This record gives sequence, C-alpha cells and structure tokens, in this order.
Amino acid sequence: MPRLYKKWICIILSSTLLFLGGCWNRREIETLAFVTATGIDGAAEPKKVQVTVQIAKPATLVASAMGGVATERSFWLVSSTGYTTFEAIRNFAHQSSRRLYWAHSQWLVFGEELARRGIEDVLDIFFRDGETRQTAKLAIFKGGKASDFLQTELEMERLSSGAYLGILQTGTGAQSTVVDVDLRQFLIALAGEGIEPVAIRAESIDRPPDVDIRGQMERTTISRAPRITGAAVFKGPKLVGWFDQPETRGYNWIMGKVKSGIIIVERPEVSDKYVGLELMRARSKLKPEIVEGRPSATVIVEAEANVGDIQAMFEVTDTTRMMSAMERRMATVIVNEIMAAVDKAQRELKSDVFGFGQAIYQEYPKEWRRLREDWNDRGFPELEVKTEVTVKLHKTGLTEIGLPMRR
Amino acid sequence: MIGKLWRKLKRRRAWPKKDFTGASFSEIQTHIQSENLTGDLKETEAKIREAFGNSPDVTFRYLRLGADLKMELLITHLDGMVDTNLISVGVIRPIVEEQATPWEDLPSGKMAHSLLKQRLLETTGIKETDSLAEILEYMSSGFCMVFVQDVPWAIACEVRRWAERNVSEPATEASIRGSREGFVENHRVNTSMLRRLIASPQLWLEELQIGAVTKTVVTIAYIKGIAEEGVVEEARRRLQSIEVDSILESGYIEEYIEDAPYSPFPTILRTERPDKVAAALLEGRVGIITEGTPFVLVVPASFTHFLMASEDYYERYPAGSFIRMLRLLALFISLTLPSFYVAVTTFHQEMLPTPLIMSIAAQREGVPFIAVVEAVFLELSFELLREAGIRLPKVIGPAISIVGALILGEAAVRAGLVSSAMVIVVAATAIASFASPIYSMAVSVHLLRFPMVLLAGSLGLFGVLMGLSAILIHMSALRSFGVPYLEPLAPTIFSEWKDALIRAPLWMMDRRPQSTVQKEPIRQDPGQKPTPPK
Repeated sequence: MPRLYKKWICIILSSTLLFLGGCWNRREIETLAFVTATGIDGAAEPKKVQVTVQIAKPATLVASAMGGVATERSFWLVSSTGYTTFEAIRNFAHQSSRRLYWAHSQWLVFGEELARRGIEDVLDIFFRDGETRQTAKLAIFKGGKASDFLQTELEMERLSSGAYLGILQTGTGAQSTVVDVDLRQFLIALAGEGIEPVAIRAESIDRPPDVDIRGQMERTTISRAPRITGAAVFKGPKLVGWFDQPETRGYNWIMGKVKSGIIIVERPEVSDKYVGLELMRARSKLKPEIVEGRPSATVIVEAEANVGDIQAMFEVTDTTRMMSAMERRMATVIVNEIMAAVDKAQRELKSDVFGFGQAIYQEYPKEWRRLREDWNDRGFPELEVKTEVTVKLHKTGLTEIGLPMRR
Repeated sequence: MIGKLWRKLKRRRAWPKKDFTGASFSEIQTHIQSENLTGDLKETEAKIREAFGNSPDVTFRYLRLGADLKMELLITHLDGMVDTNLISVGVIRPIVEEQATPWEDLPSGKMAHSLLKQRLLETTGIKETDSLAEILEYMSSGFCMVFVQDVPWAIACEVRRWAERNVSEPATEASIRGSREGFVENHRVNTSMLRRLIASPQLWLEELQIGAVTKTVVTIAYIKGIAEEGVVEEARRRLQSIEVDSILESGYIEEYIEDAPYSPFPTILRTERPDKVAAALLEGRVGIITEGTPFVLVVPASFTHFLMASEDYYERYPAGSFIRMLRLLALFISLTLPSFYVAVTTFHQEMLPTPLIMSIAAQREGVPFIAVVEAVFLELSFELLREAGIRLPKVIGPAISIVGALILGEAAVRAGLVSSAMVIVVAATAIASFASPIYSMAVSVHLLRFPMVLLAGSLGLFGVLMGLSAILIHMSALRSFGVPYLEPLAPTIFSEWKDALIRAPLWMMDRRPQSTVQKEPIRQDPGQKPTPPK
C-alpha cells in the first residue's frame, strides 16, 4: 500500500477519535426544565431539607403564533426533600419529566425559620456545583417559608423571578433602601474576617381590600403582594435580625453603595413643610483608627444632590442661605441614617455587617489579632463610630430655588 | 483469423489517402503536421476539406490574376468567423481590380505572392506560413487564407469577426458608484479595456496558447517595472507548464496554477471588473486574461483582497472602511452563526440571557429533530433554493425563491418540523453570505459551514473553536504566488493595515504594498491631504 494512503488513513482514523466520545453532555434545550428560582426551607421531617423550585414553562412565556398569551400560570412550583440539599435536588427526578437546569436560577430564597437556624448546611451545593450560578440573588423571606414566596404572582410579569429582579433594580436605583446581594458576595462576607453578611429581605404585604387588583389576565385574585425592602442581617450563617428602610440606607452609606435616593429634609424658613433632595452621587470611605488601644472608625461621606421639590415654593427670601441650610439638614439626615444602622447593629444585633473589623484588620493587622477574638460581641458594640458628612447641592432643576411670585 | 488481422492492418495503412475513419485525435494531428503545401491549389483544397471533415462552414473561392488570367488563386476561410465585408473589400476587390491591369507576361508564382502581400491585400494583420497545421489553426481563429498557384506557402489575412456579447455591467460584481463596464468574452476587447484605464506603454501583455485542442489564447498582463519579475516569471512558468487539451474558462487555469489545490479557500482572485484588474496591476500584481470568459484572474491574492470591492475606493473612506469591516463580520457570521446557535442550544444553555433562552426553548418545544439535524436540514434546503434560483430561467427564478423562502419556511415552522429561531439563524446566515463581494470566497465559506455545524453538534463550543483554529492554522499556512495568504495580518505589516480591513484615505496611501512591489515603492508624493489655501 502506498505511503500516501497510510498517511491519510492515519489522519482520518485519528480524527474520528474526536467524535468517538459521542455527543457527551449534549442536552437538547427542550429536554431541560429551567429553574428560575430556588427556595430552601426546613422540611416537616426533622433533619431534612425541603427544596422548592420555580420552573419556567417556556411555551406560556412567548406569545404563540396564533396570537395571544396563554392564560395558565407560567411556572411550575415543585418541592422535594432530602437529608442534604443535593439529595433533595436529585429527588426531583421522580417528579419532573425534564432534567432540572440550574444555570438560569436567579434567586436563592431561604425561609426565615431556616435562616434563623443557620444556612451553612444547605448552602454548599450552590457554589460547589458548576451549573448553579453565584450571581443568583440571595434573599430571606421574612415571616414565612421560601416556597410561599416563590408562589406569589405579580401583576406585571408572568415569571416572578424576573419581576423580583426588576424590583431589586428599581429599588436600588431609586431609593437605595434595599441591598443587592448575590450568592458570591454573601459567601465572601461570610468567609471574610471582621465582616458579617447581609441578604436581601423579601416580605409579603397584605393588599388593601378595596383595591381592584384583578388584571385582564383573569388570574386568581392576588391577596398578598411581595415587597423587597431593607436587609436581612446575619451573624455568621445565622439570621439575627432585620434592617428597615432608613437603616438599610445607612448601611448602604457606609458601604458606599448608595446610588440614588430622595432625602426629605425640613423646609428652611417655613415650618411644617418639606424639601425633597435628589441624591445624585455619593462617595464614602471607612477610616479606622486605634488610639491608645481603643479602636474607632470614621465614616466619611461626600454626597452631591439636586433640589427635587420644595413645598411653599413661593416663599423664598435668601437663596444662598436656604441652599446651605438644606445642605446642612441633608447632612444631618445622612448622619442619622448611618447612626441608626450602626446603633442597631451594635446594640441589638451585635453583628458587624459593615466590615469595620475588616477595615481595622487591613489597617492594623497586629492589633486585630487581639481584637478579633470576640469582635462581634465586645469589640464592635463598643466601637466608637464617627461620621464626616459633606453635602453639596448643585442644580435646582429647570427653575431657581424659589419660583418668582406672580403679582 | 490471420487474414482478418491482415485486412485490418491494411486498412490502417491505407487510411490517410481516403479519410480519417477510425483514426484517433492524435493520429490525425500527427498526420496533419506531416503534411506540407505543394502549391497545387486543388490538392490544398482537398487537404483542408479533409482536415475539417468537409464541414459546411469551410468556404473556398478561386480567382485568377495576371496576364490572361493565368495565375490561379485560392481564398478560403471559415464562414461565421470572419467579416465577409472585409474579405470582399480588403481581399477580393483589390485582386479583381488588378485583373484589369494587363500583365505583360505571366509572372512567377513567387512574384504574385509578394505582390499580393505587399500591395494588394488591404487587411491590417498579415501572416505567412507553409505548414498545413498552422493554416488550419489560423482558419480556426478567423483568418482568411490566400494561396497562390505553385507557391508552397500561404498568406493569412486577419479578418476575424464573430457575434459577441456587448460590453455590459458585470453581473456578479455590480456597484453603485464606479464604472459600469465589465469584461466580455473576447480577450482583445478585455485588454483594450485595461489599456484604456492604464494608458502606459509599460502595460505589457504576453500571449500564450493553452489547450491542445481548444488552443485558447491566454494573456498575461502586468506593468513592467512595478510588478516583480519573479511573480511574472512564476505566472509565466505555471501557465506554460499546463499541458491539457482544453481551457474553456479561467477556472480551468485557476485549478492548474493555484498554490493550494486541496484548500477550500481560493488563492487566486477572479473578477470581471476592469477597474479592479487595473488597480491590481498598479499594485504590482499580474492579471491573467483568458479568451472566452469575462473572468480575469489576478495573482497573487491574499485573504483581505476577497473582502474588497472596487467601490470601497470610490466612496469616501469612512464608508469604505465601515463596509469592509462589515464584510469581514458577514463572512464570520456566515461561517459560524449556525454552529454557534447549535452549540449554545445543545451544550451551553447558560450562555444566553434568561428571556432569550426561554424564547428559544418555547420554539423548540415539540420540534422532533435535535438542533444539529435541524441546522443541517435547513442549511441544505437553503443551498438547494439558492442553486435552484440561479439555474432557473430568469422569469420563474424569483417565484421559486419566494415559494421556497417564505412559504416553505413558514409551513415548516407551523408544522413543527423546525423552530422559527433556526429559520431566523439560517436566513441571517444566508444574508451574510451574500455580502461577500467575491463569490468564490462565499462558496468556500458555505462549504466550511457544514463541518462547523457538525463539530458544534458533537463537541459544542469547544468543537467550534477547534474548527475555527484549524481554519486559521490552515489559512496562515497558505500562500499565493509567494505572498502569505493572511498578509498583512499574519505576517504583521502594520504599514499595510491602512488598506486591509480598513480603507485609509487615498492621500495616506503613499506607498504601494511592499509584499508585491519592491522596486518602485512610492505611489504618490506625500502630503497630498487637501488643505484650505493659506
């Protein structure tokens, strides 16, 4: 046989090696069940975990060629239990005709009860496994089970997981009174030295009964509506309490995560009236100090804002004085918010979610060795927190501070 | 038995006298080459008739000349290949008028021959020959032969004219701005178009005849002093070494002289735009013009040339650069889009944003085939439609494409045979593949798409990247007449990037490309950028 053929046969045979593995790991898209949100609770049996998944039904999400949108619910909620999370997940195989696919799971929700017991035993699979994403948002459902949260439907969106992302985004952008925490950030804080994690706080509120909330889609009447505000405060892997809205913004001030917000201050010159200031930009810095063995920390915030709306708009006498008065009052509000968060964390929750300890550790690593021992219970509550807040008001909108009065 | 064989042998030996029954092509050829003219006009006529097998388009005419019209002449040509007006005015009439002149005595045939050659015949091109083979060749290319009694050689007068297509807009390389002229089938017209664009005596042409049977005229065109001698020499050598019976199109030549015969990529540029060839010649490249086809070959050609259209240089440079990059993108899309789609939907569902994956999943619901099969099926039917659209008569071509594209696609989606996302992907791929200015490159990419889809379907993105790397490695190993195929990208020559993926302003292109021009690198004086008067 000529040499040339030998060469070609070798090339062809060795190239078939590439395909001998077959279509390994091939999964056609229609054989997958896309998990869009995962909820974890304690199961009814002791020591067991209940995993609830929200699986999207793609066909109901897309307007069909015949026109119109399906009226059925767009997701399927299914639960499974097991001694570990992984086992519970595998147990879905007995209920689902399709293989569960986790890469599009956008939420990881824990019930409050489980969160208070601690979530370290159920969390591992979500960062050990390659398919789940660490960008999934981590939330705690206040006052209920995670499965209840996943069950709630929203008016605007067909898939609640996407809707919650929207709420989170608008909340961060508009008021900065929510925290935006994903699995990865949570883990970093959980593993971090001198810092404790926070998570998104989800809750559901009663609908006022007099509002007609039936939309055109003729779904069952929604009596409870989900809300995402505030923050869930952890101490280690255990939930210890909540931040409400002003405290959450205080937390965001310290962490430098305030993006926007309306700060309401009292109206200078006129009593019982208010001014809304729109926060445009904020920078913050955490400066730790140790003087004579006593640690302290300074939160430095520089904020820039515009005038949003003014009550009693015709009664402006001195523009310059009014501007500086508003700046001072806004600074006071910011300080109050910061101190509210710090106070609650120091006194009530005893959890250094701000990372003051981490800042000290980075600045004074030697002293930290002495402080770290019972930082959350002794060092942090006794930490002196100072604030330096400067506010600059820039623009007054399309008009001046006070509108000229028509005479 | 022996007697039968003997008769057979006898018949063979006797053959040249009668006709060519049972003779092979080369036998006839050797016979014709062995024949010479004797000066006997009747015999000459017989020989020519015999050689053409009594074809009805061979025309003979006898005339007489000299005192008492004793001198006999034979005029013969192939009907349809010649301008009959020119023959009657330029050949026959002078002879007939000369008949009126009384000749004192009968001159010798040689005298009459030179008289004819020097004075009487009024056509521009005149050649002389004495071999029958050459005579037949001249006749085949539209010459009119004049034989004189007792003279064993012949005069060939150039009177060729045949029906041919008018110069029209190039069908495969239309442009919005720029010349509407495309090459035609006549190589002489084609060279004249080049001469009109480059009015320099240094535009040198060399003529070769290739093809033992077709005797096709192939012309090498280059600009002496700009083109590298080595490249011209190499082109000449490769053309001369072609030993085939026929050249019917420049594609034949392309296949015999290209650098990488096994490669899916073309390494020789072909175009039917004279301005494109002229531009290539001015960059030191060599044009190869083939009789009988409007497609002219240009060597050497690198990959970036297949992304260029002459319009890039006629529109202003921002538009030219943008379109050129768009074409590269289109080429990439038409190569990889189906394979990316297959890979992502069967292996990497995490790579798409959630709403998009939901939408694709909804469309795939109920489709019976796996994505690879779906892709190959749709790609094949697209190729089928494209081919059918080209071959069909012009009147029903559009009908087929509408039926195919709209109705078939829509029906397939409705019937749940394919998903509409895949139809969109294939349609986008098709549109992208039509953006390629040179069809031969588009076709190679069409072909490569199928292995890419199979790789994507079996190995996912890993397979796609493997395929792409294999293509890249292969491309960087290619050469075209000594110039690397990916030049100026792969042997990185930054100074030439101004005319590769982008098209820099003309006033910035002061130098000719250094890969093809070494002797005369300066194209224009620097500082030609227009400025307002001081």
